[in-house]
Amino acid sequence: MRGGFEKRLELHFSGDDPVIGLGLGLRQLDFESLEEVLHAVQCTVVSAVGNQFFDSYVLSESSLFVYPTKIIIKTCGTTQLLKSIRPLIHFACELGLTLSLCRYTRGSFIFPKSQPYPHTSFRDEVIYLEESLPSHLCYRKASVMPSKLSSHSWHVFSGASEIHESHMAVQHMPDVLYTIEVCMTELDRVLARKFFRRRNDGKSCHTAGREMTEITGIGDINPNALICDFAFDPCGYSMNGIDGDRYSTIHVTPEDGYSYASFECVGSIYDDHDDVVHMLKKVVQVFRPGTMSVSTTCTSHEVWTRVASALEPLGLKCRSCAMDEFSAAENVVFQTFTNRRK
Amino acid sequence: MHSLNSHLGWPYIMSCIIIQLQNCVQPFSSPELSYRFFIERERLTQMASEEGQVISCHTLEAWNGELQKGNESKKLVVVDFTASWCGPCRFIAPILADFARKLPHVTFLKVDVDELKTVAEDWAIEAMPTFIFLKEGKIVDKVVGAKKEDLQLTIGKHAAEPATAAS
Repeated sequence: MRGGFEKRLELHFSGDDPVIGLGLGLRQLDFESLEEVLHAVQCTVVSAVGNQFFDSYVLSESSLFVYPTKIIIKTCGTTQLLKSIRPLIHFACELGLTLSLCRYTRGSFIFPKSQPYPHTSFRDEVIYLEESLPSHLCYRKASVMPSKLSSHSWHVFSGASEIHESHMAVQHMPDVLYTIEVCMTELDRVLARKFFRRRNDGKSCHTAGREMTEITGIGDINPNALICDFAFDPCGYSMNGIDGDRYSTIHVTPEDGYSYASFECVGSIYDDHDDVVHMLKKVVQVFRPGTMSVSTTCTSHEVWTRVASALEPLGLKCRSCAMDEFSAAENVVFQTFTNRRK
Repeated sequence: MHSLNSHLGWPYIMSCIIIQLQNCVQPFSSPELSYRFFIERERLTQMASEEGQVISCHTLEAWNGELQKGNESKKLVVVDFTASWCGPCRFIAPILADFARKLPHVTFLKVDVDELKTVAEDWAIEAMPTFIFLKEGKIVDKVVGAKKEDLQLTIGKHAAEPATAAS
């Protein structure tokens, strides 16, 4: 089954060669190796594109991004995402890369009982993570960040090595980046209908996806991004946006009763802060969700404070805000919003 | 969706295509397309042994030469702008090679954007792979990204007329 809250895994690697970050690193992985990883997770590639900075893949169940020293996999439904860790560590090792950071995040599953092992519970996931990670990732922490809405809580596991910790202190590149993960439920019914295809429309999944990008306004969220879009049959939509070294991604399961959409993007604290405000506003306008959660992962506090001020003028009221600190001095801030009409 | 991986072998690929054609499944559901693929099936059964291939252009001279040949032949020319460091290019390469084998009336060219930097710049290539479709020197279509189905449909859309003219 496709859809619902995704599981997200981010792995960072480092090599003996200090310039490896400027080289190809993980992008050298041959497609057979990548396929093997995806097979372990039960996904296939439906569309892909790369630029000088990274490779982006739209999967049958969400998305994959491959940077020279960083990999992000996001999968939905009943996929077994954590099973990708071991093969990824193995293939990276063959390229001379060692794992330095692992971050796993997810929301609350809509159908938790249908999840297979190791996703049967957060406890099981953490045990599986602990066992899969090499011992040098010694700074580990797991946390469930609550909200006032029982259906939305944020699960975070983070593990970092000493190398990563010291790396963060000296390098200025990685720590200025932030990640925003948005989960939306109870989408506006009229808007959600735009993610359904007409029967036998005779279009390719890419063409139908491109039309959805246009008619829903997703294309205006970041007009500079190159979008790889895909429409599923009979309904559902996925897209990856690439804009220089930044990615963004949207996944939609529009079925009434358990409609869900996610949006994720990365940014730098040196960006114009209006950019992220503008993007979040556009996202709300595309889906008009009844409930929305926003998780911000960043070393600075600059970004998350902007989120509420971006969303409140659009009729979303902040219901809760939880904060926790993880390895590598990263703060995760989890905020939930509901439509004022509720 | 059928995977046209080459390790499954030619007979398997043929049977897959024929099954798809017989069932008239989704990608070929428009009558015009299914007619084209009917023609294609006939052609395939006749020419299964003949091998077409993707022509790599490593120098400017080779590129200009192939381009001119393509223009003169009035065939559909599909140019794959690729890079050795791009994962999605490695993903689509065997699929493109497969198309080239099956569609001898279409010319498939490959340009490495690092080898022929000026060409990639002239053609404003920013993401890889980018497929440019040319007919008599004019750009008739463009597919950005490794999208098998789109590639198949776009070839189908432009390949039919010159195929009859050229053969």
